[in-house]
Amino acid sequence: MFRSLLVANRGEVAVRIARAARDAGVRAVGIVSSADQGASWTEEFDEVVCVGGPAPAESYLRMSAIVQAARQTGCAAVHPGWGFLAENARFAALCEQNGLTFIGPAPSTMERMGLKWPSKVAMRAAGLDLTPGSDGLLTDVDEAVRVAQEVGYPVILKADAGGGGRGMRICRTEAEVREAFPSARAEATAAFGNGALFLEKFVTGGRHIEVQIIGDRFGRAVHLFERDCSVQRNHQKLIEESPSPALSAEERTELGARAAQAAAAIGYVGAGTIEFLAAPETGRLSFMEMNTRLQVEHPVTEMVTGIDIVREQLRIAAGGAVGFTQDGVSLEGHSIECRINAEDPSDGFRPTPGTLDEFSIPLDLGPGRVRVDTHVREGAEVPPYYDSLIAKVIVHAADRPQAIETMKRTLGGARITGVSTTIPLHLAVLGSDEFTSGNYDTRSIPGWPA
Amino acid sequence: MSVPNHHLDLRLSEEEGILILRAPDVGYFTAPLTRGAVVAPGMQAGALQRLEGAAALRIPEGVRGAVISDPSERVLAPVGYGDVLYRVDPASAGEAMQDEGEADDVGAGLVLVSEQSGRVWHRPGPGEDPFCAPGDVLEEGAAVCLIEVMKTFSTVPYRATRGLPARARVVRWLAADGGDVQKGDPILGLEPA
Repeated sequence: MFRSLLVANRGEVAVRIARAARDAGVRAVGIVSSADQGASWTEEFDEVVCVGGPAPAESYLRMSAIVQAARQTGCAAVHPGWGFLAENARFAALCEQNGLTFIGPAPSTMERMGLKWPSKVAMRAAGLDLTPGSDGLLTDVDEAVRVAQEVGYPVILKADAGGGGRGMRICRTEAEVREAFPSARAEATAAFGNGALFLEKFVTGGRHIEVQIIGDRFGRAVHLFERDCSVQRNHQKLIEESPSPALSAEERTELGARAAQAAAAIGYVGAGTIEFLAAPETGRLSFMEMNTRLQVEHPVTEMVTGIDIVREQLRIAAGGAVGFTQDGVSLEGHSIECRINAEDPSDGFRPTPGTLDEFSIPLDLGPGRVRVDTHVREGAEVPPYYDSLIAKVIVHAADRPQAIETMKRTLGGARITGVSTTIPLHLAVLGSDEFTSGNYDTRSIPGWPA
Repeated sequence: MSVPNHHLDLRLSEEEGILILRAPDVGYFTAPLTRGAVVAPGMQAGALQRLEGAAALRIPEGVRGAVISDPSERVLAPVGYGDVLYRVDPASAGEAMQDEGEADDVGAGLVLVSEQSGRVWHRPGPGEDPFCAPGDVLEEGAAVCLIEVMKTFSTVPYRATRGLPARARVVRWLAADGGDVQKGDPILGLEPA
């Protein structure tokens, strides 16, 4: 195991990793921006290095400053957390060049999975289904029209290097494809320096189901079952749970096995998540993308499997093997996570930075267990420079109704003042018939007016 | 140590009349100025070795005075962005920045100034003792330091000119070892012996 580890992140995930490091007997070094200097969460670290100014580009995204911080504090490894540099293959490569172990897959794997089309090709070859669409990148608008006719309208044009919706166009007719193609290409070229486009059948609604996988250097990959993340707002997940209420036991086992096989086929090392879209009506699961990092919602998987995913990441990065066999992974009970963001859900989810005058979340209102992952406490500042996640409340109970009940009681008893939070939204969702029935999709938030 | 390929200004803040100069980036801080060194804008004040190479650290605009903090004992001291590298007392500037040619009697002190611009070295060679140290008495012609100008080293002798007495006692260094001076910058603080 490493003697020292640098956590290249801030806030909740930094605390999560620092604790896992401590449990493994590893000295944890943190980085901060000048805005985070002295924040209470930095007390979790044995040592903290300030790497720059408040804006992410001045600090948490400064690859060379972070690598320098790791070198001068005697760290052997770097954990990127999520967000910031977590899926930046260049950062992973810079770490390796400087003799630091990057806790994640190989830079080449990150690079391939970071581009939409190469990742789809790799996963199709590894046996996963894709949403019907073009076989590769489109050469011209005529090919786009031909593929659209084959798969049927509506279709969506996507940029290979895409992100943030740029270069993306939904088309319902041939005329719309002909009109959208050049502008989507120009937009993608301007935004990403890469104008390559592909086309897929446009699926509205459906469910977002993702499988947690872990692979090691010895070619082995196992899955830790799935998470259902269908309660979303603008592609931002709000509530996640495991297992998915939309899968039968057979479907669950089959999906997990296929995901683990795919991970093994691409030689995946470390923890990763393969995201699928379950089509409305048919329930057919097609590969969407792979996230080559720890996910925000990983605790629900930890709760139902009893496996510490960050601990596994450290073990595998240090050259170890996956610490269990597939048969040794069982799913027990039901877990739900609610993301508590400092946002005002009744005012268009406007972020509300500020000082937490009160911050308490009860842990003992049962019937299930409660886990709170947070980096804040009463009196802490929520700075305006970073994302609005202040806590994750995770519950684990014998079944889904009991998990929902535990979450309702816990959030109902939480006292957080000084900033607005998404708790009212969570309570509305948890209390809705749609959510309790398990029958909803990503188009709307169950129990919350659009 | 690689050759500095560019300059970074130290970050400036102020606390109770003392100027605080902070690290502009993460890296190994090296070749610091010593306590008592007199600083002025544009002067080099050590270097920072970063992943992308070494950068010379410069005194930013608006900073004149004497360093009142001790240098790190480590040759390559790891520092983070914003760490305090120097504390500078601007009140010492009047005493130390006499650069108009005449060595005025300031309080108990006299000042030997540099006749030319260059880099001051306190020692005849690495690892050797300095030419002079606080408490030493200097007489006409005694070697004070070396000055490096365009890779040429010359000895700076003590001269009883510009109001300096025939014999003077060294009080402190005002130019850092390896520090850059301009013509007229102070090198030594002295008192009559």
